[in-house]
Amino acid sequence: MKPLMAYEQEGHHHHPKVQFPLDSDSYKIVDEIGIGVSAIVYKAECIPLNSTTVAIKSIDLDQFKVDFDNIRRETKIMTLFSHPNILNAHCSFTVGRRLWVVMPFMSGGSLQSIISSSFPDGLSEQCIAIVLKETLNALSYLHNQGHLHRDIKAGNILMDSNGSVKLADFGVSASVYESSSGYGSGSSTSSSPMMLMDMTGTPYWMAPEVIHSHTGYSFKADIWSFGITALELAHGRPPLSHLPPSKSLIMKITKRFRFSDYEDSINKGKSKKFSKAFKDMVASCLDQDPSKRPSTDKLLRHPFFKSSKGSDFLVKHVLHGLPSVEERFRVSKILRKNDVDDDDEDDVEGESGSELVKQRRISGWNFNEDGFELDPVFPTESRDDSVVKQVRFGGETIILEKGTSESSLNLNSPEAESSLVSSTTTPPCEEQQTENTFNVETMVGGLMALKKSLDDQRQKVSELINLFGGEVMNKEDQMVQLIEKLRMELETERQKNFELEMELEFLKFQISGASNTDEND
Amino acid sequence: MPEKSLGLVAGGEASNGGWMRGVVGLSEEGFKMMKGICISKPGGATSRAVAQRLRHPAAQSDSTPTSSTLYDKSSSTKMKGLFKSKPRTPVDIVRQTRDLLSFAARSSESRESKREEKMAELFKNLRELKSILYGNSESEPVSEACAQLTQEFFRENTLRLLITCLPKLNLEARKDATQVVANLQRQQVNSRLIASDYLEANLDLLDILIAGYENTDMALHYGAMLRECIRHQTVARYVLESQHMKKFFDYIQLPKFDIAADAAATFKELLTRHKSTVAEFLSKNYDWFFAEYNSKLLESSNYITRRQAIKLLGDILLDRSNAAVMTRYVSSKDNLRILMNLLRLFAAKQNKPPDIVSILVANKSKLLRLFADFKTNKEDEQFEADKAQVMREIAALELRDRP
Repeated sequence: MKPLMAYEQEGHHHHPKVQFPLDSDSYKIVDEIGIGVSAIVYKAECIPLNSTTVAIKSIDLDQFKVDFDNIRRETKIMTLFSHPNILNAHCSFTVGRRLWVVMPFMSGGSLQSIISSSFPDGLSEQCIAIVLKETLNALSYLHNQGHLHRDIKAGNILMDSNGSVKLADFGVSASVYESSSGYGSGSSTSSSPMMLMDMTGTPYWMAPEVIHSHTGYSFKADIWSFGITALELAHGRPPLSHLPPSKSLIMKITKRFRFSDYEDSINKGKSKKFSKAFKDMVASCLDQDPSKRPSTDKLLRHPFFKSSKGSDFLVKHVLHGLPSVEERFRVSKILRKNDVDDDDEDDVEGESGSELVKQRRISGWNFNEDGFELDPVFPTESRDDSVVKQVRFGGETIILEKGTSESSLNLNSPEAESSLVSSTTTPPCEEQQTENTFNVETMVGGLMALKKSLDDQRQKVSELINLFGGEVMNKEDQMVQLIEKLRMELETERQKNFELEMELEFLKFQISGASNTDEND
Repeated sequence: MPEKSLGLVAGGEASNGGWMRGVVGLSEEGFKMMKGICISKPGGATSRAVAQRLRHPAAQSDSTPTSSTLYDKSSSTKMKGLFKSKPRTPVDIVRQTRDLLSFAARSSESRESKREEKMAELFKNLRELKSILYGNSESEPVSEACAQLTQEFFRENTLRLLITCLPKLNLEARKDATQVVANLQRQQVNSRLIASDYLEANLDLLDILIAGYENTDMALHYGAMLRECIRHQTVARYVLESQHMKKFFDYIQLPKFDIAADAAATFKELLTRHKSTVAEFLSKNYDWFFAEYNSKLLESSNYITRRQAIKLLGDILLDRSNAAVMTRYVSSKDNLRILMNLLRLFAAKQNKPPDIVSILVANKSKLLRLFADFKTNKEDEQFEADKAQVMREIAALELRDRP
């Protein structure tokens, strides 16, 4: 390990850059502040640097492909991107089988954790404007760099004690410059540049074109997610989150999302009043047609952000009286512990956990013609009870985020925090706890199963889409399956071919060995 | 639609803004204010035409009608932030960039008063070059403009200047420069990759890029450029056969993960991309290469290094073009012993990385047969014991993982 070079001036940067030590002994773990499938986030102190508080994301590298391309990209971005609204890494180094990413400690935690702990019905519009504007600054910088974030959501927006807001988690971000190899060769390739094809992100926040487009998607997909995040901040959770993830996808594809639907169906009774500017801003982000959504720079000029206040306002109205990140994490852990205890009797261990959870939650599907919605039927609960709905959201979010988080770890604000189901306002009653049953082991097991059953889910989704007569999607699906099948066959053939070659080589080797021995004799 | 032109200009602003913040030490608030002013400042017709020309440089001519027509066709977006009034062609921009780089190369930190101004101009030019080569969110790159740019770029020593001056640029400009250099490696002029020709005549530039791994600030920029340059077979051959190759064994174990991972990606690219060159290199350099590979990588104390090394070794040996090398490798008792130790390590592990498991399972029969057939001339109890253990573990794996 290299010796520590504290406060070393970096060549041509015009501010001194602190060098953080690259060995685990220099850090003292203070507290666990988050846990995900393949990473744990700690609050820690960097001993040689006056015990500066840092956050350390410890990633289990065994869970990643050995080229570590995703992780390499993420750490590179966190090194090379420099913007006041983007969370940088101090440094990263391996510790045995884990990678430690040392980052500034954002004491406010993620907006998602703030909301679920203290603002279950969402933040005030003034606070939202500040948070969104800062996020937009970060997004604008990213987009101008040719980067998509691809996982914009409250869980990836962090706040510091001074009210500053930073965008985090570049685990699934992508550069449009690197995605296509056919660049600038003069001949235009079939897939146009600046477009990405792979489906990545977290379903509730995903833009429709990310989910089903065959022409690819680009910067405007982030704008959609930004719009969803606005709603998340306003209501305390993303729209359609009362539906399981796969259905949220269908809804988004088949139906233009409208603000009013959201208010009617979810905030019945105590509907919040939002300004016209806010609604207009969100609506523009949630246009089904990506080209009609505004760019980040255009959004920044939207009236909604005109009179937005400074970070002091957030300190006063959001951070004041908020439990610390550590406390919030502890509460969520206790909640989970209770869940585990409750779970013991009816949980079948080792089995495909997520399906288990799913099955227990939903006993069937109802097609609601009036609302043009698919409603899940839950066996034991009354369906229009908003508390139950909220709990349902908590549980589903966990499944969802974990399911997608293999390569998208939340920095500083791990998925587990999302399990904090408005603990301050609605103390968990028994019904909630039984409803919200899961534990980490089941989760991991479930995720493995989920991974394996992706094809299965795809099948189910196509069936549902058939229900709507959405044949186009189905054909596309079939093509994908066909391609996958052919690829598998090709792979098998290749393998066979290779084995034969190996055998041949081996025989040659033996023969030559034998003849050599003969000569020697 | 409107987003595109904004992308171009706002990009320039971001760059300048970042630079100003760095150099002048503006407060965050001040920076935002300045940015705000730029954004709301409507551009004049001239700057719009300039921007349009930049975006459609193929439609080059000195008569304004062409560009204004193009402008009218394009969106109604307000252009802003471009203060230059004289239209410049891609060739102009390359030339000016070259002049500014020459200036940067010879001027020292504080000597010349206009330095900051000129550096700002340089950063802006680099951003513009990037826009021409990659297009922006609204328009795709125009191949003719790219070709002109590329030709002018390699006509003289612009690449050398850019690479040597890179440490003098600010972070944003370094990133732009890196992307420009990366893109230029793929640009064809009259169906020739002239970047390859240029590099072939200037192979010492590769020495600078590789040495970048020893400089924390430059490593990721030079590393990214390097990976693009070794797309050219002659360049890859030069690097493979150079003395630098030995340094990679250290670079990929540097303590900073982002740099080590970048070096590992380059190392892998060098050893897998150009099949025939790799095969030739390995057979010529077999002895020292695999001696280093075994001792420094496969037997490294760093778990991650070992895991990456065994995967890469598999990729190398199992490539059909390297069949002869593979045969030679597996005929060595020492090699097999090292591999067996690794197998023992991985096969006995409780939570085996999925890629290791799949390799073991996919090759279990081959592995078992290989070990069974492998006999040493003289008695070697330890070797036989190790072998037996590994075979047991692989066999057990087979049982466990059978559906």
